[in-house]
Amino acid sequence: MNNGMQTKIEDLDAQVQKLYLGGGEAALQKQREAGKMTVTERIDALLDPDSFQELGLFVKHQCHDFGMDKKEMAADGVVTGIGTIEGRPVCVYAQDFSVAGGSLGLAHARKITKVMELAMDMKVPCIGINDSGGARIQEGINALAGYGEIFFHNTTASGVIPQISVIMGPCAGGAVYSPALTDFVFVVDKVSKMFITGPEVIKTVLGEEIGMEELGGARVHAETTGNAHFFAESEQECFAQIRKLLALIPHSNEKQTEDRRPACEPKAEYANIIKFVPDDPRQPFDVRNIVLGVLDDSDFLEVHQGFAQNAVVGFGRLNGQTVGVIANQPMVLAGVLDIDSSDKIARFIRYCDAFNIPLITFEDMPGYLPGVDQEHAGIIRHGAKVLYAYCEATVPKLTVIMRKAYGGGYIAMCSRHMKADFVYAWPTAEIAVMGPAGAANIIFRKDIKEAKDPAAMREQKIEEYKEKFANPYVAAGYGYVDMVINPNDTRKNLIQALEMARNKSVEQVKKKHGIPPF
Amino acid sequence: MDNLNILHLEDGEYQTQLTEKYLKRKPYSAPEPIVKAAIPGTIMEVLVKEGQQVKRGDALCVLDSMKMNNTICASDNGVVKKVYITVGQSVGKNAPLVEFK
Repeated sequence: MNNGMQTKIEDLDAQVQKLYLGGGEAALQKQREAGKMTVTERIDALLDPDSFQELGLFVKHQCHDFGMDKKEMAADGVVTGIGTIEGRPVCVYAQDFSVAGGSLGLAHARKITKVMELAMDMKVPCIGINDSGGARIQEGINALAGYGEIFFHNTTASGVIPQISVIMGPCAGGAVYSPALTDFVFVVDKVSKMFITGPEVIKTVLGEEIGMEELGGARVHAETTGNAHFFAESEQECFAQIRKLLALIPHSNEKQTEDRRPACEPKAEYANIIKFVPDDPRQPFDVRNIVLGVLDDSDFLEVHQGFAQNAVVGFGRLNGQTVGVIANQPMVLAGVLDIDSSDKIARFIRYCDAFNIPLITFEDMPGYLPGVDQEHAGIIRHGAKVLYAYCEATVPKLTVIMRKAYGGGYIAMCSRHMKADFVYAWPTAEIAVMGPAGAANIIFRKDIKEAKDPAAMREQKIEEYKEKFANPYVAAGYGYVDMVINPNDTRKNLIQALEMARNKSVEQVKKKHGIPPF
Repeated sequence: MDNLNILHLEDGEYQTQLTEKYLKRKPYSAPEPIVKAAIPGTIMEVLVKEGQQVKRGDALCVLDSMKMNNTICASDNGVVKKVYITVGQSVGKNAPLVEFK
């Protein structure tokens, strides 16, 4: 080898080694002391071993104001590149808090949008690890331009490739809107902080005192706001969740779940699902046991686990094929639809539909949550999202009515009228225009009022109504339910239906796009 | 199953768990006829007197807040019962400004 080449390679190695140190050993130490992994540790934990190829390591910022021309920022505070997860390629960017607090300037943002464009061109998922103090103020309006360009790319890529945001540090102000535009937001306890205006601003402007954790910590977003879809106790756990999700979902909207796995029976302890369902329809049960009794290997990845727990949504496999599961949860708030659960369900349906994932709905829904707060906060327009999403979805739609399916809830939860492809009901199903008590009160108002003992008459009429209508056979009589089945045959029926729906195709009315009740 | 509570729905009672968000709900009460400061700030002008008849949309006061001189208007017709503010006064969030009869 000639000497000139050797010298240049040594120079390259030296430059790379220096840039790999990010903000320097002291800054990296500070990162570790804050209980956070460094950017390289994170990328190693996320991707397959030795699969990461960095792009844009030498990018420099172009800012000359406020003495910035003398400041060197390794990789401009963000590591970008490609790698694989379980052998499948992905694009990644990870903000480096050790470099100027991970602050976002134009070069930093352009590195991000470049890797996003790459992900779009190659039709692979894009994963962003956010750990940034916010806009790099010295860069002025260019920092805002950077955010704006990222938002535009997020929106363009929406529904084409999976976009995953990982919050591993602060993510405040404008920065929050990139994660909010992506498909799945992952947060880590005590590490993630997300808010539009921080505790200090809120105190100054409004006089309200609140800590960072209570305002925008991981738990708040996983349980109260619903901004986060996955919550982890540690960064390691979070990366394991991301890898699990990416093994389940298709990697672009053009691919069916190409990695169909061999079918696998549910675990023995869940196989007999009847045992999880109480005899009394007013007794709660955990619907997740039913889901586990139906899915392959009883393996279910729940999305939005802590948020709006009266609904359960998530991914699993049925006969080897990825499916999206939506279920009412009788264990929490009796499984009612309310504003939060409507938002949760509607968004999940749209995700599945965009990526060609069949939908399986398990229904046990006594109605909508009554209350002034629900009405005033807009249950009408939020509830409408569920209808819109189910009607609009053209993927295979399979419905199992387990117990209660009353009124608007019956219609909304992927009924035949929303163009469900297959509707099954268990013998325990109660499908009617409204619950027996409410219906008897209206239909037999006169009889009850004029009876000698109105209370006894009321009870009698409720019983009569129950006997006549609180069952699946009236709906099955109209063909709204295709078949009433033994609950233990649910998996078998769903698999047969799913296989025959494999080539489902639906002619869609030509339009630019609909106007969902956002 | 733990922490089961009773939830009252249209069709009767259900045993179920209640979420923290549900438990934190505030019961509804009819709004008082008092115009309050939605954001803290400084009163720049007071435009009504006690006993004055105002119409919906009439300006009541000017509140300097969020880099803006905000004109606070009456949301309904009515007669001013009490004016809580004077020019130059700092008001906090939800501070009463003008009360109607």
